[in-house]
Amino acid sequence: MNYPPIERLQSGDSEAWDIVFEWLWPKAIYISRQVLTPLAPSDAEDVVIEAFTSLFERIHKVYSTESLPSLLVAITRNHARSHLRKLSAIKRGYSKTIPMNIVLEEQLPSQEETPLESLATEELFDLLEQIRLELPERTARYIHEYYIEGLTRRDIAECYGVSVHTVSGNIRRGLRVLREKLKYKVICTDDLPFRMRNR
Amino acid sequence: MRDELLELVMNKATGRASDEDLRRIDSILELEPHLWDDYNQWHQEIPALRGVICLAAATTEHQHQLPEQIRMKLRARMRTALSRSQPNYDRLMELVNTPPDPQLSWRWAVTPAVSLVAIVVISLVLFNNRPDAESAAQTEVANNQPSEATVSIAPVIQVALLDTVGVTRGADDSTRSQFQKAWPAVEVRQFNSSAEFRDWFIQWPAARGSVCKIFYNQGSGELKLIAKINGEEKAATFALKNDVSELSQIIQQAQARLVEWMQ
Repeated sequence: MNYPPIERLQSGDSEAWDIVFEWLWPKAIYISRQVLTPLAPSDAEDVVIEAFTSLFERIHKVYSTESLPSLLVAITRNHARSHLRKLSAIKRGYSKTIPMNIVLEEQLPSQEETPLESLATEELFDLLEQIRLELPERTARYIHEYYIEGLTRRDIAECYGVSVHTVSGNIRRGLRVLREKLKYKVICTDDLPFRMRNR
Repeated sequence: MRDELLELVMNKATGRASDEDLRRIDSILELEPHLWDDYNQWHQEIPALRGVICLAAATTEHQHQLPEQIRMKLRARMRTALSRSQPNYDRLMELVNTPPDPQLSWRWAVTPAVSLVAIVVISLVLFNNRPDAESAAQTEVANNQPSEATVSIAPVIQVALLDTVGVTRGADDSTRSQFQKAWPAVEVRQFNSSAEFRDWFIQWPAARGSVCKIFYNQGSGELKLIAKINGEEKAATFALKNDVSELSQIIQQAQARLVEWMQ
């Protein structure tokens, strides 16, 4: 599918944005539901709308339409996590005040998170872009369906019309790519595993 | 063999490893003992790896259909965002991020003071230069009705609450009632999204007199005053120190500051 050039989006072309809304919505709502389903599933759509609003505000800094899925997924993931933390703060009765600029930016630090979760939107976007450039879309799907959705390799092979051998090879190579990108981005290679990069 | 081991570790961590997989892990580690370090580290990295698998898959997702009402909302947001001039948003962030500077208060006072002196001097000069007849007639009129100069233009005050989780909090809204009580003649607007709030913030009413925006962020417990008085911008921030029980106190402080500015 041909997506509109970034210049049309930056100029606020409604037709171009309609195409992009259709294209990006499934990606954003998927990740929003992934994060919010355990605690606030009904907020998933609102979070995505807010994420799109952030995307509109950053669109002049984006160089290519192909990067938009990575950027929107990164923004949505961080908005959703931030939303969960706010709900958690409400349950605690506003015992902790949060600076206004943090609320407006919707970027909250967390004390209980993995190195991946602690990535700021720009860092996460960068990681997803690196993965997009090296990991074929179909391989990403194979890995997700196998490890997260729990399908067998045979199921996946039949679904995509390829051999089980192809699926296995793709999963193995894909895992290596993901692990390398993750390591480069968030995990130090010194003696202490999982030390976060300075931000 | 390293790639194979990573795959087997992932299988094991996600509960997909067969007995054969587990035996294979043992045999690889026996054959290549230097892989023990990798093996241990990968176990720690599994949560992050699972996370990145989900994110990478999300960028390829295409099955959910965009509801029509959401498309309309997105269009509206897009038009607002891409037609809004950037400097306004920058100005908001600058005001929000800058802590109140005590030195500014006396600096701001200099310009209005100089202006006031200038107006008095010009008025005296004009008064002394008026023809007597005209002066007498005008004095008579002034005795019967107030002149335009003596009619004070009431300041325009706008009050808003920013509560990005207001929908989930429900109808219990003592915060709003406190603000309504403090400024009874003013409609207290409530915003659940920062984007809508920004729209409200950057739109200043066209008024001849002073204009003041008062907004309270329920998430941060900060009450801000931004005013345009005689062409000068003024800003002040009042924050809750401990909890929301101090809200009435900071509202009173804000009212006092506003009165001070207006004088």
